Amino acid sequence: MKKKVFVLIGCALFFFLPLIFAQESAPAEFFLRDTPNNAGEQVELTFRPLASPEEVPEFLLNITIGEKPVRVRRLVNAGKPVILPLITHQAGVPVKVEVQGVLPDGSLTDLGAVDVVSKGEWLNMNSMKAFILGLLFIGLIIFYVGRAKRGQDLFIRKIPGLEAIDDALGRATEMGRPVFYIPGTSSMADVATLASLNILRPVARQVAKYETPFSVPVKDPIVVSVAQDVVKEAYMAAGRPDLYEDGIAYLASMGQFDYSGAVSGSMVREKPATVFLLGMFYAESLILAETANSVGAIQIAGTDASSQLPFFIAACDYTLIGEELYAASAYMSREPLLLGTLKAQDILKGILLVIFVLAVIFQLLGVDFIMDSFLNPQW
Amino acid sequence: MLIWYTIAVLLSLAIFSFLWKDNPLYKFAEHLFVGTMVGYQVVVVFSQIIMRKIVDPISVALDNRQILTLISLVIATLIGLLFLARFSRKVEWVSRYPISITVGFWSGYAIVASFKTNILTQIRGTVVDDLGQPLLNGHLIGDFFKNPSLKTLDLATAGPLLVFGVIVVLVYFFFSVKHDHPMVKFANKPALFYLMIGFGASFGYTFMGRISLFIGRMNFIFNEWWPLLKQTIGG
Repeated sequence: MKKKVFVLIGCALFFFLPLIFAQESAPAEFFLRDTPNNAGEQVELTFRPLASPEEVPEFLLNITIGEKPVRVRRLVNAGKPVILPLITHQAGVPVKVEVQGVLPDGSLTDLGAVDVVSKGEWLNMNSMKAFILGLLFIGLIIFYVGRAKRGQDLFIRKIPGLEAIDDALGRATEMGRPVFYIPGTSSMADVATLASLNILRPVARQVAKYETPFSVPVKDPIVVSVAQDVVKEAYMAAGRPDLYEDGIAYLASMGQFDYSGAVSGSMVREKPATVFLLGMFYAESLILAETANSVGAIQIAGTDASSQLPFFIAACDYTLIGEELYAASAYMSREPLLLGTLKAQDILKGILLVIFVLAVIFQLLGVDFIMDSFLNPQW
Repeated sequence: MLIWYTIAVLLSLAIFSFLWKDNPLYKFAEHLFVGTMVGYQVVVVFSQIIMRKIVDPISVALDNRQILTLISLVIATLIGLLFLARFSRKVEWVSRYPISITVGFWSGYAIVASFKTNILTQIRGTVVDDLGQPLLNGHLIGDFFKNPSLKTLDLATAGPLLVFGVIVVLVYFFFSVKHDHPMVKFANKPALFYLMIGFGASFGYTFMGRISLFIGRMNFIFNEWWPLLKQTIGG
């Protein structure tokens, strides 16, 4: 008898349990988690609809972030999982999401709520590979700078534009006309500006030696300060501090096109014999290069802005393309620090080129090892 | 309305007159532009930086008694004020501190970001396309031979051309290798070819953008200002 009862209960469970669970299975599953590798400024909601769009066409998300009022967001059921970032701006902010399903008749059904408190991490592991590469680069720089300081000759190939600098300055001196040096129109945050200011030093030294009038119109106030210091040091190094005045490097204007208008006007009036356009440039590049060309100046340009290089190549006599701008300062000054950096840069470039070629070959063979390890954006 | 539009048209023509030669009209427009922009920038700096980044946060920190925030804001402001030391010859050297902090911060800050976006992501984008398919894809080359057409040729060659171009251009920018090195010798010409094709395309693209700006200005003169002028004069 007992046996029969057990068999009956077993059969009943076998048939009815799936029905019970089927009735209880939610139309969607969702969870809220703190977005990893940030300072706590974001959490994310992962939402996966389980019911078909016919059963539940839409979901309503009632989102509460900190003490802000509840924000309702409508989510159309496309049958696909969605990851929704929710901005908290800082760590320690409680976030709560209450979910309701909108049934075909328009009625709402509560699907539950999830909450989390945003938290920040000390380390952004997504940047770890870049950090290690950075450390490797710094290590290479220290190694090669050491070698350069010990007097080891580090070869740098000729860069045609730089060979012309002496001739261009000599021409300005002979003609008794000024030299213009435009260190780009960006701020100190730009590597090209830093490279340009490095080239400004040897140019200013040469200009001081030749006693040629010199003008450095600048767009950014901080760059003006640095340019003034660089020019002053260069004049002192050339033994002509008497020729230096603060007005050599000056703030022409702070806007893009008013700056180019002001500099173009100065060029037309002062008719420089040589114009250097080295640094970061934007849409004003052609205006400046064309104006310099129209007054008959020799132009030596260089930028790492690939969108502006074509204009310089078309309008200027010599153009330093991309990285040549960075190499130029090392080439001209022969300072161990810059030479070592350039050598380290080449070595790192070589390592990356090898990784790139290996990645291409491995991909051809259907092996994802390098893509998954070295070139994966996530750590 | 007509007055402002007319001023805009006259100033546009004054700027365009520079194409003929430098003249008093251009000089006037240039000085007006520079003066206006400097005035505008002063207001922007005052309202967006001095008020929003210094005065307002300091007041909020004071009200909420957030001592650490207050200290960091005050220190940053004081460092920024050191820039003004440039006006005195005696203490001019002090202004180098904020400059060195700015340069040091930005250089350090740029290192990891540059490695991530300009190097690792770029290399990855040169090995595989957006869908994760390798750019050197044997199947696409096979597809071309099975079904030769312009489209399959484009699909088959785009990836290999890109990969080859990146390699030769990278070799072109090695500075510590002599010109007669076989690798450099091999890469030099194709690299320049790639670079010039790229620059040519970019030139054409940007030039069209400039033409569209010019058309926009002409459109303003002939389709906005001129009808408005006729309407106003004609009553």
